[in-house]
Amino acid sequence: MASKQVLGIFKTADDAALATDRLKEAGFSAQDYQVLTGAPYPEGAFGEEIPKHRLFAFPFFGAAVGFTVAILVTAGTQISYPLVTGGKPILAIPPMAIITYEGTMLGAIIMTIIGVIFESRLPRPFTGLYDTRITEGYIGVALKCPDDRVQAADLVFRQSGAEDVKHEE
Amino acid sequence: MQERVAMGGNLQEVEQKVNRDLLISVTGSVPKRFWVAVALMAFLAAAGFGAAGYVVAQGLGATGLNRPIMWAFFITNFVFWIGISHAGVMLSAILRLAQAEWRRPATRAAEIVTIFSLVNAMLFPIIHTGRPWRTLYWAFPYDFGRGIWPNVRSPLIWDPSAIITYLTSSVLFVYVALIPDIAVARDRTTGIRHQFYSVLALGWRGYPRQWRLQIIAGFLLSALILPIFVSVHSIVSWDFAVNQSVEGWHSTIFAPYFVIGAVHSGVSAVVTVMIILRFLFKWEDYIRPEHMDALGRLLIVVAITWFYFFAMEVTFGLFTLENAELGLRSMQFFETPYSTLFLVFIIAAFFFPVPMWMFKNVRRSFFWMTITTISVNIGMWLERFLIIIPGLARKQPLSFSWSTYAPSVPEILMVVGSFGFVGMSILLFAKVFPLIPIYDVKEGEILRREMKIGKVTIPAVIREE
Amino acid sequence: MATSNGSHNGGHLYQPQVFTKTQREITREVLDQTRSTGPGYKRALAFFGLLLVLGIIGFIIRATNDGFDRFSPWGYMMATFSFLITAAASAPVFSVTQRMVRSHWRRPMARVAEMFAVVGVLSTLMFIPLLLLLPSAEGRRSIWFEWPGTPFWPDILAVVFLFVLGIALLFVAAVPDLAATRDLGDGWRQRWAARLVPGWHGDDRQWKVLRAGLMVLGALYFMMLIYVHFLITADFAQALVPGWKDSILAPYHALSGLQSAIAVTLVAMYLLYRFGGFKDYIHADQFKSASKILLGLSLLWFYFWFSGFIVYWYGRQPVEQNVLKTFMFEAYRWPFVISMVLTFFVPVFGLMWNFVRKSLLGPALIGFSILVGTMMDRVRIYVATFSIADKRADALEALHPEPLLGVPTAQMPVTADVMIVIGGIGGAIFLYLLAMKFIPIISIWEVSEGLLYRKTVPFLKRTIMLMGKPD
Repeated sequence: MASKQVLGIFKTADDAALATDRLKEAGFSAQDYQVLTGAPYPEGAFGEEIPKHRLFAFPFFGAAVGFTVAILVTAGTQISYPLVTGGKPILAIPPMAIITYEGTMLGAIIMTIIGVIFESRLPRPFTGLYDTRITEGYIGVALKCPDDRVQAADLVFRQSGAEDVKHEE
Repeated sequence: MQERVAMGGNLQEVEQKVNRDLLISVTGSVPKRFWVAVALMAFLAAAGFGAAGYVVAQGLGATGLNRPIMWAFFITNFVFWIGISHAGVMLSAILRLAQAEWRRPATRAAEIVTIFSLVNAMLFPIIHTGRPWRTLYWAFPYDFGRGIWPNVRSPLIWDPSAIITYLTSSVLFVYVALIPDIAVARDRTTGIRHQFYSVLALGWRGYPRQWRLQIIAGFLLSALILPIFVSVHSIVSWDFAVNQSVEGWHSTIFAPYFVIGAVHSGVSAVVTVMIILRFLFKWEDYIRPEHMDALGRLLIVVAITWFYFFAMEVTFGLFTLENAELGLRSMQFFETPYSTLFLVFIIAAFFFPVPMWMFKNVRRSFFWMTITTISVNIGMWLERFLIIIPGLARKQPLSFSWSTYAPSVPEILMVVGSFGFVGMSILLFAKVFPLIPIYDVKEGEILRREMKIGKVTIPAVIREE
Repeated sequence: MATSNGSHNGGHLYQPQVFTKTQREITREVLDQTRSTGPGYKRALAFFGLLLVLGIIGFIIRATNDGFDRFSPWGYMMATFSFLITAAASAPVFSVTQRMVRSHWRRPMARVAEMFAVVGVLSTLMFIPLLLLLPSAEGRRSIWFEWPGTPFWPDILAVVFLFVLGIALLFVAAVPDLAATRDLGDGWRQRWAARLVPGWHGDDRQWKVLRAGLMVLGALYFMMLIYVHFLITADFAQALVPGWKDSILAPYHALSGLQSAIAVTLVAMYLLYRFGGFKDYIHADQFKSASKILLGLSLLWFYFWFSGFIVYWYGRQPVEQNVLKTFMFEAYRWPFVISMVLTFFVPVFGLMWNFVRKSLLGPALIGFSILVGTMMDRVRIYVATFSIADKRADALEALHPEPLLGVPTAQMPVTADVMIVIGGIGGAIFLYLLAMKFIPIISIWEVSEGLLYRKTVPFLKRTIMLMGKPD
């Protein structure tokens, strides 16, 4: 059966928390809804599941790539045009270490940023059911439910004190 | 749940007020003085760029550079602006990692100061090469045709690698932290501006997963960017320090000495910028005396640490009693015009501001904080000047002609123009993006509580762990 | 760096045992522990006392066999002295800085760090014979530029002041706890405390003065410590090696002091947790927070070292190459490699993991590694310097001596040196153990104060912790 989104807009966080309780009572699971807020709340404040992520793998991968590229560039350029300067060896490790360090860090940062965006499930071309009041202090509870339960969800939201309930067209 | 401490009202009222105030430049109309400030800065920047064009067209003969003083205003200004750029990470990363509550309004302004000063700083050595278009193959390994590569053993190649890393990281860091705020702007704009913010917001919705990642990213990126920040000014210092022919430069302490000096001038610059923004956008509710107080305390610690490194540098310079070193120090301390500049430098950078900051009234006064932080930067600019020019001005064993240095008009215009360029860039950025992190301020409001102990009420904050 | 996914505990907040106690219980328990001297404690005291005696014998052997005319017999004693200044004398600074930034997690470890001030007795005594080795600053290259009477009086004054300030800091911070001993203790401790703090009643004014006093003493102690590091590196290292001019050595020395301060505190905290009967008081908060700072300082340690190294490596003047070869790459290669591994690689690659930082044993082991590494670092600096000072006596009599031209061979420790090293370190532990029975090792008033500022409150569907931030 096709599913639709229902978005309840709540004026207070307490009401939103109540709504998530009632959703669970009505047989919805924590995976079915998301609490949308305009600012970060302490984790688990709405009884939601703590999301798993693999962000910490990204900087390590980026660092490894950056390190390799930097070593190849610094070693390669020195070997392919071996010109002794200042009595230093052709493969002079301290200067290579400096550039390699920068390369490693650059790789780590770039991959971390990619990781943050990817793990945040962005970019998302279509925002989905949304309400601009969320960024001004209202709390949204976005529920994904089967077509035949939309009315039930609507009722749960309204009974929990929703200011407004929106349905996906 | 709904009681707010600082701003009064319920959650919606607070968030609406924060949105309205902090997006004033985006969704509202800015006061006339904002455009006056932009125009002034643009004028200065134009003068600077005009002068740069003149120098490029005429060659470096249009500057006051003269053997053996081949590094002067350009490099002084380069080091100065690299120094200013150290504010961003110092404030936003360290304070974020330390979970200092008062950081919230200061972080983004600091990061933006970083970005534009870094861009500005990069321009100076490029212009200083005389033929800016050739910089590309001096600094990057791209000349496959002839097989000539940059000399990675030269600190002048370490520089671009560090600056590019720092600039890229800072820009990405700022962007990631901006996404939730761009979403706020997206929700409050229409038409083409709405489309612009929609694209940049990447479809942000604000659900727990996104917030969690956002918070972790703040810590993780801070931890990653800190080692980069330290490396940048260290590498700039090695442009001087690894050189053994100029006595006074060849000092092992140069790297941390430069970094802490950079933090000193950078944090001071952020304070100045915050006060200017507060004035331009009427952000009295966000940039408050307690923020100045905390920054003032931080500056005392930074300034004293800087002075310690300065004292070590001078002491171990003199310690050998070698003629060359004594000659250089005597030039810096006792020969005009350097002696006068030295006096101004040490008073402006340390002996005037630090005793002032010891007083709580000064730290909480926007007027005095403006005066003292500008004073620090006058002093710190002179510090770089006094490291570079007297160092080069002394006759070396192999110099057969030597002369003093006087800056030419284009050089002065470029230095002045650099302030205009950075100022203008920050203001224009503030017109498009909120310069105080909206979600961070909102989070602060959500986490802020009060605690009653006996008869006193003290501020309290929710800790996640 | 790595955090476990989903660390949230579903509304159950981790609550260390100490926060379920009342102030009265805390006072009673800590005073009881201070009083108790179990067999384990006595055995430890006897063992370390024995080591101290061994050290004294080693010193006497050296003094009678070699006298105080030459430097090289005293290299290992200098390294031990410098290690004690680096680790023990720096430890109170950890508590001072955390008190200044008003961190709450510091509370159970404040006294543990400050107590190391008592080691100053030993380091000050060790310093006197070392100072006798130095020639007058007149007619030679030194930071004193031939001031009369230098380097003796500034050096000894600084070391003595540091010791006095450390004891003052320890005492002032312990006044309320001594008052508790006076009121609730018994026997000689009660009489002793009553004599030391007869007038403490804990009124507003007294608390105000106490806090201000701790700030001032702390700041002074910090500055004096940095100054002592500067004097040691200048007078006992650089000035003795002709041509060695290394302006970062003093900050490097001081920084490694800050690093070792945390290391030694973490080790002491773990031992107190494991064997000292303070399981309820010492918990993951301290180890986790201190570990983060330790990680930062370990990175900085490498940075300071590299900043000095790259300038010398690039400069390539003969003296620079010889200094590098002597202190790092040839003569004292192994102490250098060991110290690099133990003070940089082990802490950085260990503490970057969240699970290590959150444990108690992990940071303690890493702290121990840092201490061993720092000792090795001091060996390479001072044993090498002292052996050069002997060979280049000319340098100690000239303003512009010929710079260091050769690389000396490494000087291995003889039995007396080993006795001095273990005696110095064992003696420090002995003094610490002894002091623990005079002053409560856990700061009762600071831990009790912490109870006021921590509350757990409901927040929507979970329980959260509220931290008071007094101005």
